[in-house]
Amino acid sequence: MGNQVTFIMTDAEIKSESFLEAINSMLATGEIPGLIPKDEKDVISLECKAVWQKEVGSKGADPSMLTLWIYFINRVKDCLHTVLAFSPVGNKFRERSQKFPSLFSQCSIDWFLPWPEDALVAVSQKFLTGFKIDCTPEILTNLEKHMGKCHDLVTEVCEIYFQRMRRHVYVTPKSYLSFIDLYKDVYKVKYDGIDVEEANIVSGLEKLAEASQGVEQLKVDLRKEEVKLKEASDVTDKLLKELEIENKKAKEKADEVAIVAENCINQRNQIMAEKEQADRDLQAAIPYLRKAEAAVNSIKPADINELKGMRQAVDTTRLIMDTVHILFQRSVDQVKLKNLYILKQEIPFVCDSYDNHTKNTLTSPNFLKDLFEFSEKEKDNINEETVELLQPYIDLKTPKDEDVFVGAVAKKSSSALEGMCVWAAAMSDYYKQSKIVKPKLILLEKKMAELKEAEDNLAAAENELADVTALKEKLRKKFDSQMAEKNALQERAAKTRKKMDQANRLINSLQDNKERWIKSANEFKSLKQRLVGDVAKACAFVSYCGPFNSEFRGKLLDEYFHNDIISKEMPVSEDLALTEFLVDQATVGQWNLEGLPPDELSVQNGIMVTRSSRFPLMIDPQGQAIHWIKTREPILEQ
Amino acid sequence: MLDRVTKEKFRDSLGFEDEQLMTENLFCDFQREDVIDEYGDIVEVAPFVYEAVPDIEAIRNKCIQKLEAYNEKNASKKMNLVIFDDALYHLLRLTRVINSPSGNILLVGVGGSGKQSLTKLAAFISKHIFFQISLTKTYNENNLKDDIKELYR
Repeated sequence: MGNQVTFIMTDAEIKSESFLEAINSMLATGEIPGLIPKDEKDVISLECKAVWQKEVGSKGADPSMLTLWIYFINRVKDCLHTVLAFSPVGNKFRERSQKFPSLFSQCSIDWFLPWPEDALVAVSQKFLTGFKIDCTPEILTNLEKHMGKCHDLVTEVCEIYFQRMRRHVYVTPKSYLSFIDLYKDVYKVKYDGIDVEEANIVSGLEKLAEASQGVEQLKVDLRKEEVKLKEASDVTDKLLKELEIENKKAKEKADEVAIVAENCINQRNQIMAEKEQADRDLQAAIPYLRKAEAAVNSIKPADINELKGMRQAVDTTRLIMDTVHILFQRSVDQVKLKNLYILKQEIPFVCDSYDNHTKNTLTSPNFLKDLFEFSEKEKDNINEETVELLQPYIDLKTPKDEDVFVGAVAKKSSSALEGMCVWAAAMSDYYKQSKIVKPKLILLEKKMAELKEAEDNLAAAENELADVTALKEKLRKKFDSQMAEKNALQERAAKTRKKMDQANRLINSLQDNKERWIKSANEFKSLKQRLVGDVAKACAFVSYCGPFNSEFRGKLLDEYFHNDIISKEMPVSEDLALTEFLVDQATVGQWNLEGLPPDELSVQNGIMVTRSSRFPLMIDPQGQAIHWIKTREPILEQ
Repeated sequence: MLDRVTKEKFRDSLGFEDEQLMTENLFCDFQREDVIDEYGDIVEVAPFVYEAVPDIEAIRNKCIQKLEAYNEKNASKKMNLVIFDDALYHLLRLTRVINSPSGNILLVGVGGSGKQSLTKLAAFISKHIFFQISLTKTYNENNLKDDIKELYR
């Protein structure tokens, strides 16, 4: 109660004209018929009584209900301030003034005239404060002025358009605000876009420069590596030559050694064969020796003593002792004939020397020992003469042609004699046998010496060969390692070359781009500066030019806006391709696919529909726009 | 027209120069400050005294202060207004009208010229209860009448 109330009613809230009727009557009379039923009226009136008494009447007065009600209504009228906000656009405003006169008669009228240019500038100033634009403060001021001017220009053009086309176009401050908003959006997007592109290209150029630098470095590296490779190759070649020489040497040596070895082996084989032969021959003499030894062994000292004890030595004893003496090469008697009586027969033979010489031998205490020793050590001293002398004894036969010089005969006289007899015979046989072997043995010995010499030679040659081979091996190892090094170098050089080739190819393929990039990199700065004007032009177009036909759009854009920008000395592109500036080709292509006609005007309309910050109103007699929208937003349709 | 009438009718009687007439004939009733004690509480609400504005910039600043206060209070529905000269005149006119008994006003202007915003600000400055119907699909005349009825109380 008693509070001041402001009630605002705008165009948008008038859903039906009947709303206005209520407002009209409220303004005219303070009440709306049928608003408050009778009983409520009374309640309200009574509630007002106290206030009335306080403010109007005396305490005791008793106002009628009607008085109170009128008082209430007046208070409402006083306190309820209705603010109507109408737009003068269209016929409705006029009709309302005729239908609802109270709206006008009961209200003060405040006509909001189009904002003056300086107001527009003030607005743009305020909205652009804090928004980063890459330009000088003067240009910024000019931009703000230009925005205001644009709005004014469009207002002017609306008048011309009406005169020409008989069509009203209204520009409202809302268009202006959306113009500024759009400007901010587009400018930021575009500026950032250029920034990104610039950064990309700058980094691309840097990469290219880096790459060419890298290639230069690679070239230097490659040159170095090639020099190294050459050195290594030379060393390797030299080594290879050396190795070949060494190889050859080693081979020669090896051949030589092989020949020597072969000779040596042949010699050895031959000698071995000979030796074997000799050995075999020698072996043949051995049994006789054994026989002799056995015979000696069979002689017992007792037998000897027995023999010694015989006073008269029998002829057999004499005969055998002679042979022993002959073998011992001791002195014997001169040869003279004498008949021997053996086997009870007379045998003509030489006279024995028993009495003169052999008896002493037999009686010598060392006789047996001498016998042993002879067969052990002196057997090879037996010579031709001895044997010749011995021969008749051995061959001695009785006239009945019985062998005399055999163990059996000797045994008859004494077992010692038997041994001696066999011994002597064996010794003779041994000599005969060994006579064959001896020269062979001597030759063999000589040959053995030769063989040894040959083997020594072979060993020396083999040592030499080993030395040479070792040297060769060493050389080969060196060569191998050198070769490995060379190969590694070669590989590295190949790798470097490959890398360089790749880099070169890349650089060459990017050469075109590079030129283009450098060009556009230089353009970016001016592009950025011109963005101030370009965006202003494009945004003014999107915000204002929608209602006009193609002719006026072009006129506004190229004459009014452009000239104003030029006159304010703002940077702007001379021939800004508007559609391309606001959308890329791909998007336009997409629109065309969606059914938007490809002509410039339609594309412009497409831009306005998609870019404007306000809702688009499409006047679309041919149904093209609706077709496009339906294809474009199939989900929204559902 | 208004200017001319003002000039002709009031020059002699008030003794203003032309220039003064055009620039300094601003009056409003919200120039007094609330008296605020040291704790920030309002001791005495500023009275509405209708008086001449000494200087257009002063009243502009005052309005901007009020606007900021409004935005502080209605953080969700901030108004980003530029108080240029014309807007200021409209604002003063609005406060004048809605503070006079039975003062109603019809604002005419194309969309977006700030009619609503200025009204809100004016109501705020004058410490009025501000009411605006909230449209729904089913909103009709009866709803409107109900709303108005509420306002009568």
